[in-house]
Amino acid sequence: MKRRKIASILLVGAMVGSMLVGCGQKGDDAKAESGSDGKEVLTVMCPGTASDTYRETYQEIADDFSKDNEFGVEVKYEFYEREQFKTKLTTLMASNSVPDIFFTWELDYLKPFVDGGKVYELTGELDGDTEWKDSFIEGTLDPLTYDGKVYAIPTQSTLATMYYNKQIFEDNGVEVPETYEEFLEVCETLKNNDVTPMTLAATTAWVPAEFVQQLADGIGGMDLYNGIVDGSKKWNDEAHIEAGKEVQNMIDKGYFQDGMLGMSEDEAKALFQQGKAAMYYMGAWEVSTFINEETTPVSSDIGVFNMPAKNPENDGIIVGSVDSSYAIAETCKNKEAAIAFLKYYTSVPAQEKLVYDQGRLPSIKMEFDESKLKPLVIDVMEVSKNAKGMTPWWDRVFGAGEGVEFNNQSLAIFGGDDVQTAFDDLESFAENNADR
Amino acid sequence: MRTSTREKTGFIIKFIILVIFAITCIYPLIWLVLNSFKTNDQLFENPWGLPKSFDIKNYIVAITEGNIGTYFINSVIIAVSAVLVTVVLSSMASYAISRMEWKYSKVMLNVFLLGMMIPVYATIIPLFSIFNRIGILNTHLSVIIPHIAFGFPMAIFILTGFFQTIPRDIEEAAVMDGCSIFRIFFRIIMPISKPSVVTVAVVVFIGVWNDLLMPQIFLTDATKMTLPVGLNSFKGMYSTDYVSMIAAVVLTVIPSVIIYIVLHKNIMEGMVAGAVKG
Amino acid sequence: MNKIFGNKKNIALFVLPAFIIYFIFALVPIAYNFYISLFQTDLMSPGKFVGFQNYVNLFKDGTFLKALKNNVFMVIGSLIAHLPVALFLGNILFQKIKGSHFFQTVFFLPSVICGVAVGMIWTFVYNSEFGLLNRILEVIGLGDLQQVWLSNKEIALFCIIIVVMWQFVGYHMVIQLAAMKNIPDSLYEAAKIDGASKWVQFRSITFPLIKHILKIDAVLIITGSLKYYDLVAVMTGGGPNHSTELMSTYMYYQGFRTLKYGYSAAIGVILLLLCVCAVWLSNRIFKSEPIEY
Repeated sequence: MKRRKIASILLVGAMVGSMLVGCGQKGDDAKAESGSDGKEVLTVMCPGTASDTYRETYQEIADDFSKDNEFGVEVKYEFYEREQFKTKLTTLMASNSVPDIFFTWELDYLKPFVDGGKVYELTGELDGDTEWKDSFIEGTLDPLTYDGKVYAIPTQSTLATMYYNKQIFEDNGVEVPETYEEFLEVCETLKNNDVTPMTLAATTAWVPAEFVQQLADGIGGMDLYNGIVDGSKKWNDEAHIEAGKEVQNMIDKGYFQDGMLGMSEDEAKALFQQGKAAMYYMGAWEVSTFINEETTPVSSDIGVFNMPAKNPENDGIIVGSVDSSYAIAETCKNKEAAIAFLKYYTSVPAQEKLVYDQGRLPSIKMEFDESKLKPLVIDVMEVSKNAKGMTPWWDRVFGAGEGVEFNNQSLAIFGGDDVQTAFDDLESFAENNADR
Repeated sequence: MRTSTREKTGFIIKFIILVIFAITCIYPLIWLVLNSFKTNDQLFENPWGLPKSFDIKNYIVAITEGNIGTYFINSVIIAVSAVLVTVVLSSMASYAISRMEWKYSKVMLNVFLLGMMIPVYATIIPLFSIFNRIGILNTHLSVIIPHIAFGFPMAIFILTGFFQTIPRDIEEAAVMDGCSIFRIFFRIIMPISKPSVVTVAVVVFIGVWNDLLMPQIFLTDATKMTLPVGLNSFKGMYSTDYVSMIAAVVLTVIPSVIIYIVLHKNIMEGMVAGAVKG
Repeated sequence: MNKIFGNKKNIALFVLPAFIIYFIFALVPIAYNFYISLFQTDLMSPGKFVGFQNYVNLFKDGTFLKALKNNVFMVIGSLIAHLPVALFLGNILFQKIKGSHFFQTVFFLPSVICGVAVGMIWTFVYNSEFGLLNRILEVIGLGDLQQVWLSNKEIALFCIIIVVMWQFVGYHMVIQLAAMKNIPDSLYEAAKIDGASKWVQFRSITFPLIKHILKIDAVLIITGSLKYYDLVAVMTGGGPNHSTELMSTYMYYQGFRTLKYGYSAAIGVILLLLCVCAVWLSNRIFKSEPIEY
């Protein structure tokens, strides 16, 4: 009797088991898909939404590479909305099924994946091809280096900047501010003339955070940034408190658009694109959108300036970093082809396409044909050239724990929370977060 | 019969309350359908009124760019498989528990009923880890299996309740005729239990169809996602194209509403059964 | 009879397929979840055993405590929103009003719509620009009350509770109505002869006799409120600044964003314990009163 029972248990077990195995194989089959003309496919996973015009340029670069490469591979992009991208990447990492090449942010974002042995190390490739290694702008590989080893390649550099509408400025008789006081005066004048001075998306926490960070950079300078990074300064540092209070001062005076707290990125941006707000603080990547006249009616009126520092000695310290870095998964089957693609992506023709078509600043040292650059791009490059120091976005430096909490607290400050409490909370979060 | 005026006014007030509440339940859905035919500009100018024309452009965007069709098919595959397996296996188990004679049937029932307390969220991380190891992450199976496992408690609860009410004579007669246990179960018991089985099927179906968390975590390929996940990512991808988003929501809601209209008696019965009988 | 119905092989064949799946994919994960919660792990590199440290940290984590508080608030809010309102509506329909069946069907409808769609519908309602709510306020002359509803951290959670209520009031009403229909008519006829008013009938007959169902319903509401995920994930993602964070959304965040799976598993264990407690507690209260018609 007993034996029979065991037999039936085994039988059922085998049934379930064969079900599982059957489907596991299905998964593998799906992965070995081939391209349109039977070519082997390399997949690049990247964030991007329907309104992001850069998607086409990225795919064009990939197509150019696919047309003619010694490996006979075809490169395909897969785009996901940013939040979805993050979830997807973490789950794929744990299950060892990351696409061959993936977009990544620098510093702490990539670190756990490097520690988990999921990312292919590129140090050897770079050392083996010094021409490639030396083509990068100095220091751009550093944020992607862990324990002296490079794990990803920066494909762009970027910074946050203040976009403004030249026409609106002219109509209201204001000029690009040189000092922080002038900046506030510009806002005041615009406000008094019933023009919305600034538009900002306060539903996406990193947007307000970027603005708080810029103000803090202008107050505390590189000392503040370095201090926080090496732990000698605390989040509730005076400079942060002061920056938070400046923000609330601007909100109280009505320098931001109505309904700011409820607006998503696209909604806030749309106000600026349609000339309904005079200024918009955002990353230089947004140039891609703003040079497109179809989506941006006021395209030709847009200029940029560097947000003046409250402490003039810190002028030129900007939130900025490398951008759109690409890493190769350890599970990638054709690493040589993947490396060849990264080399192509950081070669002059591809980078030219990015800068001429999309206004993306290159990560390599190169000359430009000024006639092909859009005026707005030249402006951005000017700001970039004058930068004295760059502080990467906190959520890239500290990743999903502390970094995101900085974003959340910045959002809270925009929502009217007490500044001191917000940064005290952040500091205690940071202290507890270490041992979770 | 005489009715006092007081009673009459009371009745009218009550009726008005009911009507108002019914409008609150339905109006958002009607509003949704109406606005799905507008353009974004029309939506902002006039969110109340009728659309100028019944332009299905938004639906085309939702289906072609939003891939709502693919998500729909995935949802159907997952929901139907989960329902079939749950219904068959849970009826068999319920039958054994309620009609067969063995010492541990009560214990077995209680073990199953224990599952009604378990929040699925408490198993997400271990399931992720287990599925990862056996290599079924990112397959429909990874969503189907937990739904089956967590569908059993409620299903068995409803079905054992029903099977207990079947008179013994039917089975006795069948045994006399020399029927095997399988024949009795599939040819006699299942047919007469149809209402309860449909109820179970419907409850499981709604649970699977509406679930967001499991497909969100276990499925990573856009081609394998279900409607709720697809809808959520559509929202991220087209964050200012409100009218297309509205069209996508309409497309998601319509199947549930149709099924509800057809089967509302079973659905209400099923979803309520657990509470009232317990 | 016994030969067939007592046959161990038959019993095994009928019970085991379901039981094995249930055991492997429901019971084992519960235990495994507890095991994971004792580690600091990102599921990629080998984990580090930390004992109950994750639990200790949880109760030092301001955000988790906020999520717990929000969950409790959600429970209380849903109880207040569902029980009296559903009971009120149920009692009206119980009096055999015209179209009773139609109303029941309509009220129940929202509970079968998927949470993501409901969340999106209501983000449209709450939208500050074209949203229904602000437009209605404007029309009825309460324009001052216009809000960016879901971005105001004082009221965002409250807004979500309203949606929960919209979605599930009908569901709870149908449960309670079903209980009322089980009460024998004779009781009411007797009361009518005694000249008892509707209110007296409700207070002295209906309410006491459906009390046991109300208790079960309360359990459903409590465990249900502990499990909410979809609505919050879609409508606010836990924001602004964690003001609508629930245990489920925070668990998702700690696991699949910050890769702290051990920590996240510990949240799951606490969620489970709370559900078990809720059920146990109500069973205790429930047991004390047997029902008789």
